[in-house]
Amino acid sequence: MTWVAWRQHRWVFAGIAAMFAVLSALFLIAEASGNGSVLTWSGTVIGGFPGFLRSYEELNNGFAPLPILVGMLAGAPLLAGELEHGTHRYSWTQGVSRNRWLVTKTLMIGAVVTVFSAAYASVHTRWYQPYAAQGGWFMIASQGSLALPAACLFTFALGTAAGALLGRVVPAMATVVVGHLAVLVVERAFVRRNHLLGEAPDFWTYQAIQLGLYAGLAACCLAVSFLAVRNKFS
Amino acid sequence: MTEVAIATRELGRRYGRKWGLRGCSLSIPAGRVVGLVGPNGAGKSTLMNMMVGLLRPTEGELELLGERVGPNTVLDRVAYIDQEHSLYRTFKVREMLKAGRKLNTRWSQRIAEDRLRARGIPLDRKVGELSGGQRAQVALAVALATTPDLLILDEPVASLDPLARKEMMAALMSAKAETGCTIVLSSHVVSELERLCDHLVVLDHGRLRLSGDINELLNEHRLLVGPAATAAAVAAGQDVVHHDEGSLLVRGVRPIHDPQWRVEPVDLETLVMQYLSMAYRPVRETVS
Repeated sequence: MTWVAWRQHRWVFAGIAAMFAVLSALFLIAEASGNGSVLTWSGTVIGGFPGFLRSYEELNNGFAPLPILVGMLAGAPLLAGELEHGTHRYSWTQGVSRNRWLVTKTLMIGAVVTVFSAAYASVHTRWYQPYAAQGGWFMIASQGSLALPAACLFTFALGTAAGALLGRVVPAMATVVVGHLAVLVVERAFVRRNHLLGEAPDFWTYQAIQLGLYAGLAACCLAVSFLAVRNKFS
Repeated sequence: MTEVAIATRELGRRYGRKWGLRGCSLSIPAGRVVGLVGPNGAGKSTLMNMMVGLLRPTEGELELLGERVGPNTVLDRVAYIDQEHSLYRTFKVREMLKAGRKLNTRWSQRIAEDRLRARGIPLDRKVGELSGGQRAQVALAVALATTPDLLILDEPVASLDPLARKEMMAALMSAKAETGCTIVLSSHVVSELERLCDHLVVLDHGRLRLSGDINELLNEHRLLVGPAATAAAVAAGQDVVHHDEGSLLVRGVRPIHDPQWRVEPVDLETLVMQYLSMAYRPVRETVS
């Protein structure tokens, strides 16, 4: 079963690995070359590598696009791809039970998503360290070593569940975008705001809060996926 | 042949408020090649999907090879090919065989390779690049390599061109000769099944119309042909299945005393057509 999952989703594994590897490499270079002070200046328009880093950080601070990419690439096609092409009629009538089939797939892809996003998050956090005093740690709260992997797992699970329920890849991808942004808005408006207004705002405490939130949502989405695969199509 | 391959009792499946199949009670001995016929929407796919665990029955009982259908039960002895001969399109044929080996505890690489070699299908070709006929052959090879006791094919030739149809039917004939496993295949064209099948199941509007050994069914049924004026009198003494203009389809013909009427044998296609055009009546089944 692991071979089949690997062979079916090898481009997903490669895509996720490549995406986070390239980003990690970028920030290793940025760290080595001392690029990052750009985060502290105000107003001036700059280009080149520093300009890119600034836009990238603002984008991530804004709406955290990395989990969206993960959900669209790894989550949405996982079940919807099979249902759209009818190959579930092959996959689900073999000797391997449907449950084990889905456990294997979600474990393998989930592991790749977690490992590569966590590796990237730690490289990114290390690069940011010298600038944290000026920019503040909360600038990279959505890319923290706990928050980012958890958010990526959530979007992966959301895409999987949406794919199981909708049976189509593109609507499942759209659900990932909408679902992720909805959770982000609600989380920032209530959870982050309350934390920042509280007694002692702390980056790692907030990371743990995000980890709990996103891991819980991911677990719910996975449960929906398993139930849907077990019931909806039987 | 004492083992029962397929046993259903009052089996039914509802989609919302509409029943796809209802009140279906069947018993089919092992080793048969079963033709499942009926027009589109008759309930053929519904019945097959329930057999392979892709649909859960709303009511009734379903046993295959003496076991109730469910997860981790009899399904590893059952192989299924859907209408589109669905396989992973990006896999090479060789990889499809490897997938079959990894996904099934019972797997014979030799069966799959022999069948594909005999039909000249290259193992290094991607499934998505094969012709429809070749893909059907790969699907059949992959299904037979799991050494099933029961092989279920939903409209196996419906999507194929005439030549590929002929080749697929030939491949099924050879599978029947080589394996001896019970085969169930559906079609809405009776003539396609006539050479291959020895057992017939007729479904219509979600109801079972007829089930039995084909030879026995043909022996039992007769077409009575004569003038319409005396049809009612003749019908009175017979077990009439269907009353058509100028002919009566009867089961277990009794002597006719009217010389204007003659008794003719019935062919399979006529038999099925007459059963499909009759108003609904409770199931008639021959005890095999």
